[in-house]
Amino acid sequence: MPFPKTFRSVWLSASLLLSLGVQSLNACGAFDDSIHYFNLFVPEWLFGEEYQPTFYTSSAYYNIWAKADYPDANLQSWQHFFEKPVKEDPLRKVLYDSWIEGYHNVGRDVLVKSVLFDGSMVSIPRQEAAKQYLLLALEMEALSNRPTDTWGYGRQEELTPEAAANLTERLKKAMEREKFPFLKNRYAFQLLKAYRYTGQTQEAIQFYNKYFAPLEQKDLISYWAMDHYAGLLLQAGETGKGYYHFLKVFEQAPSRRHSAYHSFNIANSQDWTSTYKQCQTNQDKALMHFIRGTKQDVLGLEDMRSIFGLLGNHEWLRIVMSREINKLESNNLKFYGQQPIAELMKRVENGQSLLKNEDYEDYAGQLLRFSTTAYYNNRDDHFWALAKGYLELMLGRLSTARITLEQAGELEGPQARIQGELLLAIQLMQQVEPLSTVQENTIAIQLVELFADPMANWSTQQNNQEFILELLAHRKRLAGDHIMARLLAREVISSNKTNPDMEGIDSLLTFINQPDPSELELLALKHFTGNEATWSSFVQDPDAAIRRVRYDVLDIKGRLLMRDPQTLGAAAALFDSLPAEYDFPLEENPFNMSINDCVHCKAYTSASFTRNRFVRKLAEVYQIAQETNSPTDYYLLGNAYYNMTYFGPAYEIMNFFRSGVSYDGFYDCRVALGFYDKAMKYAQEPEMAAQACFMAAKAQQKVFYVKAMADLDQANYWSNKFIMDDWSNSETTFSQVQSQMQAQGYLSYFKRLKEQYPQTRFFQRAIRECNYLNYYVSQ
Amino acid sequence: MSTAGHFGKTCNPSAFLHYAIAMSVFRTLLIVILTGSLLTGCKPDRTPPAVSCYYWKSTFDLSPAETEWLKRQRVQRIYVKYLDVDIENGQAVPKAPIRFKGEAYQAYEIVPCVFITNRTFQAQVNPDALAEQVWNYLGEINTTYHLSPTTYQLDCDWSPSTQAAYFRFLKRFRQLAEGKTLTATIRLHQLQYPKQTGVPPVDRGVLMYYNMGDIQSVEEPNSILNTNTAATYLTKNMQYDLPLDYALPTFSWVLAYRLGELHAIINQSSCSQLDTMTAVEALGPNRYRMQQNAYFGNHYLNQGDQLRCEAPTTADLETATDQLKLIDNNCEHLLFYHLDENLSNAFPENLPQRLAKRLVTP
Repeated sequence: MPFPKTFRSVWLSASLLLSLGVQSLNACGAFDDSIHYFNLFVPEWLFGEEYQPTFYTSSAYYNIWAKADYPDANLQSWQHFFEKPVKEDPLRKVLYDSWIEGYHNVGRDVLVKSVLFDGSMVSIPRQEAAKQYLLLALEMEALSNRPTDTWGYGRQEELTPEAAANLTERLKKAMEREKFPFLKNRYAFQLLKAYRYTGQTQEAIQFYNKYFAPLEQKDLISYWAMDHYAGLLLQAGETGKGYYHFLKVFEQAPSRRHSAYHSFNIANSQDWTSTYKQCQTNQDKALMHFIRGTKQDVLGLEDMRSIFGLLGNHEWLRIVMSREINKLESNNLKFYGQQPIAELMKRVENGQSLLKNEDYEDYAGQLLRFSTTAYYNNRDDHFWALAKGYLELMLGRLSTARITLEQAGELEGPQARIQGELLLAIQLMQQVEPLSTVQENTIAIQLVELFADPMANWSTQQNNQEFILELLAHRKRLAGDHIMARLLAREVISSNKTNPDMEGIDSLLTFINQPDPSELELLALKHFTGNEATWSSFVQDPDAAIRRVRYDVLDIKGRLLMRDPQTLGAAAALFDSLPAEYDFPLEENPFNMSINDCVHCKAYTSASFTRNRFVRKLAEVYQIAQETNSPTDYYLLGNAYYNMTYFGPAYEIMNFFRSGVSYDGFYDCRVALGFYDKAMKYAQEPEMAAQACFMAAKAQQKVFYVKAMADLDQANYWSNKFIMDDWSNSETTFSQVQSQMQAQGYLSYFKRLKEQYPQTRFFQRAIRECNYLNYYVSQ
Repeated sequence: MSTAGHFGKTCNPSAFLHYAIAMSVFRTLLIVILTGSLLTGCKPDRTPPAVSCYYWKSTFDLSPAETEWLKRQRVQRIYVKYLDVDIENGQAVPKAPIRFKGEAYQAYEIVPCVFITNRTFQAQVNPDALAEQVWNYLGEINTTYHLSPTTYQLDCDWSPSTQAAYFRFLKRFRQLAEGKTLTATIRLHQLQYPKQTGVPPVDRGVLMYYNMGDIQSVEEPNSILNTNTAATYLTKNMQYDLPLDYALPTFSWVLAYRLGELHAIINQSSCSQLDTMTAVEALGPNRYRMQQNAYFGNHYLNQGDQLRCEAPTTADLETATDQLKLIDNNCEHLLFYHLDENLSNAFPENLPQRLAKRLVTP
């Protein structure tokens, strides 16, 4: 099962950015919804974060919205200007408009005027100059910010042309007056944007050429200005020059790398040639190839060849190769992320490649030839051994791949990790005979080390692990070890707690009780229970660890036994055998009834039941009821079995969780209904019978809900009907549901109540307090 | 019953002569109508549908050639795409909103069209709220350009999982657009399987008679208009629960396949452009392969990419028109997708009117 690779915050691309010399950050961020299948070649392990925009993602949009490069760079430059520290939180809020605890209700202008320098040692002239600039820059946001109302056609401009012109004039004057070069540059940056966003392209270009171009020392804001300048040149049709400046921003300004990368979008040979002519060094030219070769819709091989020709074995070359390998993985192994891994093993057994068609095989072959050349020419660069080995693996040449990877010797750091994972994958694909206990123990250690996961919980988002685990699960499946197969396929105890079944729980117990488990089995069990101990402490005392797992599973079994009243005694005995901490006090007396359901309204009754005591009592009541046909005892049993379902306030006795969107766990009210039937049958007086009849109606209603939910058209997602708790909130859906219940015979106990017990005090009370009954009677 | 009474109380010869002539004309007409009905499967001879076209660019700015084409085809109504609706970060958002340039648009009846991606409904947006957002947005555009459209068109290739949501959207939109004519696009599979796919709750449909092939397949001969494929969707006298207008394709594109999969759709490009490129080799009719990396149509193509250029021919369009006659329907508008320089240059000048007539000719 693939995981999204990483979750990251949103970043607005620089061309849309505003103000203050600010990288405006949106606090509520998107996440990378791209999925890398069995991603063994993780670029983040191998290369610096600064190249993040060029890494492969299966989502074309992800990188554009990825987090900002060096988001604090601007903040740091301000702190540097102030010379003395300024409170970081208000400054961050002013610059980034981010959500800051304690300041979220305070206007940014107020922060500038009253909070930012409160108690600071910053010199007064700097304070005053900074305040003036920041306030004016905040005003500029009205001109440069992206409209927040996306559905507002024609409301894109927040400033009138007159107001914009006035603002531009004020910026000009403020810039002329300003003495601090730091602030002067920022005024100039704002002025450049003002020209740009008021459509004065030529004025903006001329202004950049006059002010920023001659600066010998370019600071952060100068490169941000260059980013705008490059865009302006494109607008003016000077494409070669424009793209070249994006190239320079990419190269020189890490804080604008994303923006420059995504703006460098050459789409025709004329623009490519004219940009190439602007390049002054081989480095410039190679950078052009690097950026193009890492674009989402390009195969990078040709550009790799060019980089190799221009610079030799450069880091950019390795990044492009890594990207191409990720592309092969994601586009080809995706199949095995959705299908049984057995399909992949069939190809391995037949000596076929792991790639889905001849075109991919051809391309992977070309990449392998390139890697092989780079490998033999750069034996000290182990990246090429890894690339060669992995491409050989993808092409189904497992033995060659193993030799390549082993010949690389003992690698270090992330390279060792990739090498180890690849070799382990090859071993699992190649070895025909079952794994011995010794091998399993070794693999367990390798998994903990390779996954860099001392907690051994397998729940990180590095899905490179999953390939290995899938291969292991496949071997166990073939060997008929279905429990291990399930555990290696990342089954966890919580899934067994939600909707357990007796057969599955019993087979788990058999597995847990087996003597002398291998370390791999221990590891699987540790993951299964979400045990939070470190792996080393877990294996130090495996008996204690396994005992804990056993108790957890027995606790599930006890709750399953409770579902059948005939095995209540067995459930009670089982709970009593568990350590005391498995017992818990009950906040609600499950024998109580209430006319209206309220699952989370704990009654805090005086009854001092614990779970175990209650189960023993329940078994006792059941036995008495069986022997005496006592209507009261049947009624109490009905209440208990109603209250312990998903719908009752004592649900936690039999359920571990309660979902808000689906009926999970024990939700079968037919058991309670059966007891209420008997209570009515043996009732000696009408008040008792009326009460049992009413409760039977409640149980019957829940039986209907469960059936209706199972039948519900899932496409009706927007309807209130889908959210079961809202069924009664709308008059229309309320009457719809009632008429459906009537038509399908699920109001038979209301009918009986109305016809047989209208004179009872309970009926009169119920009709006042229960809307459902009231509605039914009034129809 | 005396028919003479209709001609006055005084039965003069002149009046009788008029009556006799009128009766003669009536009989003749009756014969023509009856005969015509026999030949066209009991359908009376009809007026050819009006020729219309789609305008699918985001800036409405007619070139002289386009204006001339519209004039020559006597086009009065243009279906203009006002906006796309797509999903972004889980929210439905408007994209590529229309801008009208100049005043040329005022000479035509404008039918606002909204293309909504199917994934918008898959993302479980609230269809009622979306209908209100779209309706308000259209209203703002109309106000900005002083337009008062009487017909609107919604375009979404709905699927079983989104049918309920889309239809609910349409119902709400219909409430909002009270008094206006609401139309929706219909794909061929929706025409063929109305029970399974449902019939949208609108006043009229526009059957999109294009994009019918398997665009994903490198083997597909022509994904735009493949009359052999189309024939499998149609049966004689088939009916649909909505009156339909028809839309025919007049566009061309180049499809690029990479590593065995569709890689890019290169719009407004053609075989003739590929014929002159040195970086490509011809593989057969309409098929090419990149011999080296090169830019083409704002795309950077790679060595080994396979290209297929597609465009309907005049003969294809004539066959398509004949096929559409199988449907028991009264088409009022024959639309062409879409208006650009290609439409005015690539086909015989009188083709649209000729096809419109052909549609009603037995």
